[in-house]
Amino acid sequence: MIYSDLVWHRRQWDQLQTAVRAGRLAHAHLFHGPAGSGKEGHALELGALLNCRSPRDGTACGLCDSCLKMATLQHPDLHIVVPLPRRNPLDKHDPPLKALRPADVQNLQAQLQAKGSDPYHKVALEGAHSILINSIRELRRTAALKPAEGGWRVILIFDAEKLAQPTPAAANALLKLLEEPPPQTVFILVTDRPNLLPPTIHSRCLRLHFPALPHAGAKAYIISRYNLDPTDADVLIHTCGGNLHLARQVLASGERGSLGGAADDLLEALLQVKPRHWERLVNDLAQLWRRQPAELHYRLQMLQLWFRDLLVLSQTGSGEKLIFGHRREQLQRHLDTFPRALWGVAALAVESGQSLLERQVNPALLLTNLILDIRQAMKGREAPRVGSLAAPAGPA
Amino acid sequence: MKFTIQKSTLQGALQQLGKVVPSRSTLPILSSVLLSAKDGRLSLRATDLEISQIITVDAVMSAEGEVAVPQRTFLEITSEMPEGELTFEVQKNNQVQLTTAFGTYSIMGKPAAEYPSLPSVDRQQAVEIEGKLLRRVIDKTAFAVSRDDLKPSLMGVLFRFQEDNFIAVATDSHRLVRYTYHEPPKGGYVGDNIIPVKFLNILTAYLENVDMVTFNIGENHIMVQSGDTELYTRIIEERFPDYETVFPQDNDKKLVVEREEFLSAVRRVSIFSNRTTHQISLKLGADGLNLSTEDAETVSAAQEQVKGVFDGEELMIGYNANYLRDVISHLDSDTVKAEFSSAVSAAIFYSEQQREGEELTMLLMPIRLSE
Repeated sequence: MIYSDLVWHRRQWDQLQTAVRAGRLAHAHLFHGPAGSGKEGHALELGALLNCRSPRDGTACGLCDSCLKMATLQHPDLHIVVPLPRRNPLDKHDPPLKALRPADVQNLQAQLQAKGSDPYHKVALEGAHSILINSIRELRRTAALKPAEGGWRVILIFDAEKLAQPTPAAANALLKLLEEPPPQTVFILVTDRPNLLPPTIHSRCLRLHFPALPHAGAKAYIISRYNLDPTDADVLIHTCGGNLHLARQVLASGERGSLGGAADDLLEALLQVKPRHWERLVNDLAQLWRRQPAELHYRLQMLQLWFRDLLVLSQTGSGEKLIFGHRREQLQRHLDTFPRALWGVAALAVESGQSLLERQVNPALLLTNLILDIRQAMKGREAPRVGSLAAPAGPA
Repeated sequence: MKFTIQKSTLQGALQQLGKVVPSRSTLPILSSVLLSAKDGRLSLRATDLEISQIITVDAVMSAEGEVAVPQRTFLEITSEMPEGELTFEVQKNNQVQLTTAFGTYSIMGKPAAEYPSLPSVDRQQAVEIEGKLLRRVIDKTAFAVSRDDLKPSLMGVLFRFQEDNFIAVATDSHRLVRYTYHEPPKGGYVGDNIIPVKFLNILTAYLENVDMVTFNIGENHIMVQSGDTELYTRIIEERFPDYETVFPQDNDKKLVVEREEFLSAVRRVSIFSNRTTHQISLKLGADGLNLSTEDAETVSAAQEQVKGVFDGEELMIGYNANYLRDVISHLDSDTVKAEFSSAVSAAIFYSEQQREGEELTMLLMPIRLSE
C-alpha cells in the first residue's frame, strides 16, 4: 500500500482487487459517497496496485519503483484532473495550466505533494469552480500516446461533479474517451455529489459507493496524524460525521486554542451588525462565496458546530462532549445573552443554507435570509426563511 | 560530483533542453535537468514525460555523480557568465556550487532519484535514414498534422517503413500529404508508427549537417540518435486511417500552372477573404484559372487571373485560402499540377517535376461555395 494510514473500506477494496486479480476490472469507475470518506485515497491505491511490480496481500507493495512514484504522485502514467481556476483566457489548444498564475501552479504542486503523503488531503485551489475543458482535451491527447512505462494508465478525476459545472462541456468532452477508452487504461471519477453528473457519465461508469468512515478508523487516523487526545478525537469525529476533510480543516484552522474562532467571529458579526452595515456584511459574505467557497463553507460549518455546542451546553450544563470546550466562556456568554434561543433551529438553518448554496440560488439573498433566520432563532422564534427558498410553503 | 566545463558548451546544451522542459507542470521536478557525470562524459537530460532529450558533452571529470538542477535558473546563470571555464560541484544535500574566475554561485539541486526514469527502448529494431532526407520529410508533412484532440491518430505523422519503400503521411482531414521515398531505409525494420508532431519539430533542429540518423523503435517509445543527442518520444497508440482509399482515381480535369505565380496570387487574393472562412474560389477554364473572393462583412472583394493550361470542362471550386497556400508552398518544383473532378470532391496537387526517388502528393478538400 502507498498510504500507511488510509482507513480501508474492506468490502469495496475486496471487490476492486478481486476484479484486478481476475483481469476484469471495469475501464471506468465512479467512486461516490460522502466527503472525507477516503474515495481519492482508494483510487490512488488502486492505481498503485495496477502498476505494482510485486503486489502483496491484494495491495500494492509500496516499495517497488512504480509504487514509490505513485506514492509521490509522480508516476508518468498517472493523470490527475482537478478543478482549476481560470485566471487567464485560454485558447482551444492551450494546456490547462496556462489558465493559472505562477503562484497557483506552485500551490497546485504543493497540494499534490501533500496529497501524496496524506490520503485525506483535499486538493482545492481558490476560485476553482469547474474542471476546465482544456484539462479534458489534454487528457484526450495524452491518452492517445502509449503508456510511458508500459503498465496501466490511471486517470483520476477528483471532484468529478465539476465536469458539469457551470456547463456540461467538460463532461461531454470526456464521453468519447469513456466510451472508447485506450487499452490498459482505467478511469476513476471521484465525487461527493454524483447527482450533479449527467446520466451520460453515470451510464459509462461502474458505480462504487464509499460510505462515511467507521468511527474507529477515522479516530485512529486523527490520533496518529494529530496526536489528539482520544476523547477530543471522539468528539471531533462524531461531530464531523466521519468526514475527515472537515476534521482536518477543523484541526488545521489554527492552534487548538483558536478552534471555533471562525464561528465565534462570524456569529459576533451577525449579531452586532447595524442595519446600515447590513448590506456590506451580506455582500462581503457573498463575495467570499464567489472567491473562496470552501472558506465560507468552512465558516458556516463551524457556525453550525458552534450552535450544536450551545445546544449541548444548554441541555446538559456540562462541558463534556463539547467540540469547542476550550471556549466554554464564550459559549456560556452566548447562552446567558440569549436565554430563549432555539439553538437546534439555528443549527438547522445553517445546514439548510449550506446545502442551498450549492444550488443555483442567489447567494446574497440566501445569506440575508440565513442571517434573519439565525437572529429569529436566537430570540426564540422559528422562521424557516432559508428553507422557503428551496420549496414553496405547504398548506397551513 | 565535480567537473569543469566550458561555459559555452554548458549554455548551449541547456538552451537546447529548454525546448523540452515544460513551462508549467504539476510535477516540479520537470522544470529541472538531470546532470549525470560518468565515464568522463557529462550528460544532461530533460523530459516533459512525453518527450525526453539527452545531450552528452565533454567535461573534465573530478568526481562522478548525478543531480537535478532547475534548468531556467541554471541557464540564466551560465548566460550571464563570460567565456571561460566553470567548475560545477555538488556539496551536501544536493547543494550545487558553480565556481568561475570571478566568483562562486550556489543553487539548490534535487536528488537524481526524484527524476523520471529514462524510457527503455528495444534497440534491436532500428532503421537508418539520411539526416537531410528526414528533414525534408518532416518539412513536407508536419504542416498538415491535425491539432484536433478528438482525432488523436491525426496528431502525428505516420511513418510507414516497408520492404521496398518508406512512406510518411499527415492529414488533418481537410488536407493530406503523402511522401513516398522509393528506397527502403537501412536496417530492415518493417512497420507503422505515428510520431507526435511536437517531437518531429524538435528533431528537425538536429538534422542539419547530420549524415545518418538512427530510429530505434521500441514497444512504446522511439529513440532517435543524432550525434551527441538522443531524443525519445512516446508513440501515438492509434490506428491511422486508410489514407490510400481517399486518393481519387478519376480526376479528369487537369491544370498545369506556374507555382510562384499561383502562390502569390492566392496570397494577395486571400487578404480580402472572410476572416472566418478564408474562402476563395477558383474558376478553371481554358485560359487557366481565375481566383476570386468576396466578403460581405467587410464589403471587400478581389480577383486575379493566373495563366495556365487547363484540360477539361470548366469548373468553379472553393477552398480555404490558408490550406491552399500551405499546399502550394510545400511543393517545390517550378510548375504545379492539379487534378480535379467536381466542386465537392478532393483534388490532388503535386509537383510537375518530382525529385528523383521520391513522390510527394497532396490532397485538398474543397469547401462548398456559398450561393
